[in-house]
Amino acid sequence: MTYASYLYFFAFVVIVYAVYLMVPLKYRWLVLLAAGYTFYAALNGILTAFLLVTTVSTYLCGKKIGSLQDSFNAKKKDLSKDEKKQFKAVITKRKKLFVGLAVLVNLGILVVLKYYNFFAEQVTSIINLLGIDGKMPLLKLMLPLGISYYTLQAIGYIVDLYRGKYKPEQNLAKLALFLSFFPQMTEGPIGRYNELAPQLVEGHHYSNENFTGGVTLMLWGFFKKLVISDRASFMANSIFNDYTSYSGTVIVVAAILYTIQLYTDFSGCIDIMSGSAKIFGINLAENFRQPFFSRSVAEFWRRWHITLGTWFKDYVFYPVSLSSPFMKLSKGAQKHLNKFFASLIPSAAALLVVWMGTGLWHGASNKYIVYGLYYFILILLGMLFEPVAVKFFEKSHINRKGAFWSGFSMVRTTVLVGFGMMLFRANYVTDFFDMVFRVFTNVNFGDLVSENMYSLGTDKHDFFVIIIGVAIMFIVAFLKEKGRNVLKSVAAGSIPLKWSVMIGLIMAIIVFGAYGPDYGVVDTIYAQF
Amino acid sequence: MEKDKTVNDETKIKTPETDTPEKTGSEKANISEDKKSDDKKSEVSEDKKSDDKKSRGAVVWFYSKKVIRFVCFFSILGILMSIFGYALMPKNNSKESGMPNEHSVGFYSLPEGSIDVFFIGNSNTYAAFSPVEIWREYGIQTYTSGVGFETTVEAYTMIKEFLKYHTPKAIVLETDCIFASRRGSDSLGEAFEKLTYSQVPLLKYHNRWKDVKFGDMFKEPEYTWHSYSHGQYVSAEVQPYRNPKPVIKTDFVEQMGPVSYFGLTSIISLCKEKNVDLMFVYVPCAKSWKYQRHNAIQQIADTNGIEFIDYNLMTDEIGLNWLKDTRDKGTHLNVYGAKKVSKNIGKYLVDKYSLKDLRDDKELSELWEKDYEQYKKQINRTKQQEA
Repeated sequence: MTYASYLYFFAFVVIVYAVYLMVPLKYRWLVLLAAGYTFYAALNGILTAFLLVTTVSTYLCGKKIGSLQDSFNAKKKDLSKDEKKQFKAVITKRKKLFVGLAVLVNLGILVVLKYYNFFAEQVTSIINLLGIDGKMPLLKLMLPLGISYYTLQAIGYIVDLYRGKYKPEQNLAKLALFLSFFPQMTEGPIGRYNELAPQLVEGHHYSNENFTGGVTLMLWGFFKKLVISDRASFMANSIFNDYTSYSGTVIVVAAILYTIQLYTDFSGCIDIMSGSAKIFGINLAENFRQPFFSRSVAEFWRRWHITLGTWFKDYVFYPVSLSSPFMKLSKGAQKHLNKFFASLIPSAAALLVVWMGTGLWHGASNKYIVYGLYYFILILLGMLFEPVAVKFFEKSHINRKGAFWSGFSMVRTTVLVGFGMMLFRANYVTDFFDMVFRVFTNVNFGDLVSENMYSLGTDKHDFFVIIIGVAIMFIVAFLKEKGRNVLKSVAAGSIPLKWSVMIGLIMAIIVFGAYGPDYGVVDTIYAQF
Repeated sequence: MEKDKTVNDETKIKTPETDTPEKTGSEKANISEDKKSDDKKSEVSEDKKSDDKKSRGAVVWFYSKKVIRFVCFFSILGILMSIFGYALMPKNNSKESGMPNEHSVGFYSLPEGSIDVFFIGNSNTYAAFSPVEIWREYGIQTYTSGVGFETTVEAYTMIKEFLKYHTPKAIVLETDCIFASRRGSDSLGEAFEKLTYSQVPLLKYHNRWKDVKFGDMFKEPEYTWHSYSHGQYVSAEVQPYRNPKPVIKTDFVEQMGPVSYFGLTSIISLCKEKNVDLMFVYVPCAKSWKYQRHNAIQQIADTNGIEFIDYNLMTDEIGLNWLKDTRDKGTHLNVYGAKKVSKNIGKYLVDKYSLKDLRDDKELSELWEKDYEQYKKQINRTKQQEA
C-alpha cells in the first residue's frame, strides 16, 4: 500500500461515517453493507462473486438448519422419550447434511483457489518419483481478498447454528453485512456472529469517545506500520533474501527485525481496522493481547492472532476431539496406558490436526506445514514435560510465578517464537535449517558494528527510530498488561491530552514514516493470506 | 468476558452532548411524535416551547463547538507541519543540501529572467536536450529540467516554479511523460502523492531529519548550486539499439489517462495565462514511442494551436543512428544523440522566436565556456568508464 492508499482508506472511513450519521438510525447498517461491498468490489472486481456465493450459500444452509431445529423443538413435546431420541437423530443427521454442504461449498472454494496448485505440484512430484512421466496441470487462480477470513466466519456461523448457539439470520442483507464489514475484509479479525452481527445491525449514535478512541487507535496502527514495521522490513528482506552472504549473528538481527516487522505490521493493521470500526461504535474482536509477555508458546498463541486460535479451538479441536475415531483412540488409550498418557495422546492427536490446519491456513507450501508442526512439537513437549517441571519446581523451591522465572519464561518464549518467525519468513524449509545452523556455528559479533550492516536498507538512524518505537510500544503494552489501557485513557481524557497525543502521533507518522521517494512500498503481510 | 464488559461500558457511557444532536434527526421526530400523542395532539405548553428553543440552542452550540474544535485542531497541526516542513526543507538546491533531482532545479541559481527556452519532461528530456550544445551552436540560453518518470502533474508544478524566476519565450514539453509513468498506468495515487509532495514540503522532505543540521533548520534558503550541464544528464555511454522496427502509420489514437490529461490541460492553461508559448516535442525513444501516441498528442496540439515536433518521425532528417546515439538500447539518447536533437530544435527555436545570439557577451561566454569544459570532462569520464 502506498501512503496514498492509507489516506484513501482514511478518507473512505470519514465519508462512510458522514453518510452513516446522515441516515436514520434504523437504516444505518445498510450504509455499512453498501460501504463493505463498494470497498470489496473496488479492490477485487469480479472476484466479489465468490463473496456473494459464500454469503448466499451460508444464508440458505443456515436457514435450513434453523428450520430443522425449529421443527424438532415444535414436535418434541408431543413425543415419548424414545421417539424424541429417534427424531433428534434424524434431525441431527439432516442438520449435519446442511452443515456439510455449507462447509463443502465454502471450504471447497477456499481449498481449490488457495491449495489446488500446491496439491498439483505435490502429485506431479510423486508421480515423477515413481518414474511415471506425467504432470498435473497448474491453473492460473486468483485469490479473492480476505477469503481466508470471511470463509472462517461463515463456517463458524454455520457450526454454531448446528450447535443451537443462536437462531439463524433471517435477513440475507444482514448476514451479508456480517461477512463483508469493510474493516475486516483484508486481515480480519475473524468475527463471531453473536458478538459482531448485533453491533453491526444496531445503529450507533455519534460518540466523542468512540470517535476519538477510533481515530487514536487508527493513528497508533499507522505509527506501528509506517514508522516501525516498514522501516524494519528493508534490512530483514535484504538479509533473508540473501542469507548465505551473512553470518549467523546478522541472521539473528534479521530474525529480530522480522519479528518486530511482522508484529507491528499485523497488529498495526488490525489497530487501523479496529479503530475505523470503533468510530462507528463497533468493537471488533481482540486479535492481540501483548503476545510477547507470554510465558509459554501455548500462551503466545492464546495472545497472538487470537481470533484464528479460538476459531481453530472451537471449530476444529473440539469437533475432532469428539469425533468417533478420536473417541475410540481415547478409549483405547485409557485401557492400555497410564492416566497421564491416556489423556495426553488424544489431545496431542487433535492438536496435530489443529496445527497442520493453522500452518496450512497461512498458505499452500511445505514451509507452512513445517511451521505448524514446529509449534505442535513445542506445545507437545511442553505437555510432556509438565510433570517433570512440576517436580522440578517442588524440589528446587523456585517460585514458578515469581518475577525471575516469569521473566526467564518470557525471554525463552520470545526466542522460540523468533525461530518460528525465521521459519515463517524463510523462502524454503531448507533455508530455515541452514539459517539455524549458521546461527549456532557462524557467530561474528564484529558484524554488528560493521558499516556494511547499516547499508542494507535500514541505517543507524532507522535503527534508532525502531528502538524508540519499540520502547514506546513496550511501555504501552506493559501498562496494558498491568490493567491500564493508555489509548483508552487518552480517548477519555481532557482535550489537551487527547490533542497532544493525536497531533504527536500524526507528526511522528509524517516525519518518521518510511514512505515517499526514499522508501519502497511495503505490502501488508497478512493480507496475502 | 472482558470483551463483553467493554461493550457494556461503551454503551453505558454517553455524554449528554452526544445525545443532543441525534435527537434532531429521526429520533427527535419520534420523540416529538410520542409527546404529541401524550398530549392528545391538542396542547402545546409554553414550557415545551421554551424547551424546544433550549434544545435548538444546545444543538447549535454543539455543532459550533465541534467546528471550532475542528478548526483549532487542524490549525495547530498545520502550523506544526509548516514549522517542521520549513526546518527540514533543503536550504540550497544542491544534492548535499538534500535537494532531490538537483539538476532539474539548477535554474534557481541562474540570473532571474535569463532563460529563453525551458525544456521539461521525464528522463527523455534530460537525455535529449543539451543546453550547452545549443549555446555553442546558437548562443541562446536554455535549461533542461527532467525528472525520471515525471508525470504531467509534476511537470505542471515544476513549470509553475520555474516561471517564478524566469520569463522564457517558449516552454518545450517532452511528451513521453504523458504516457509513461512509474506505476505503468495513469495512477491517481501517484499523481495525488506527487501533488501533495509539491504542496506540503514536510511530506516531500520528511526523511531529511536524518541529515539536517540544527543550525540549518531555520536558515533562509539560498539557492546557489549551479548545474554545469544546465540540467542535461551527460553520458557518452553507447549501447546500440539494433534492428529498429519500421514506423507503421496508423490512425488509431491512444487514450490518455484522465490524470495525465488533467496535468496536460493544466500546463496548457498555465502557459496561456502566463503568455508563454508552449510546444510539444517527442524526442527519439525506440522503447515507448508509438504512432498512436503521436496521433493523440497531435490531436491535442491541433485543438490548442500548439506546435508539435516528433523526432521519432524525423530520425533520418536529423541523422540519428540508433547504433551510436543511445546509451541504453533505444530508451534514452546519449550525448551524441542529444547533440543532433539539440541542434535541430535550437535552429527551430532561434528561427521561430528570433532569439538573439549572445555569444558576443564576453562575461556570459566565459561562464558557458566553463560549463562546457566540465561537460567535456564528464563526456570523457563516461567514455573511460565504458572502456
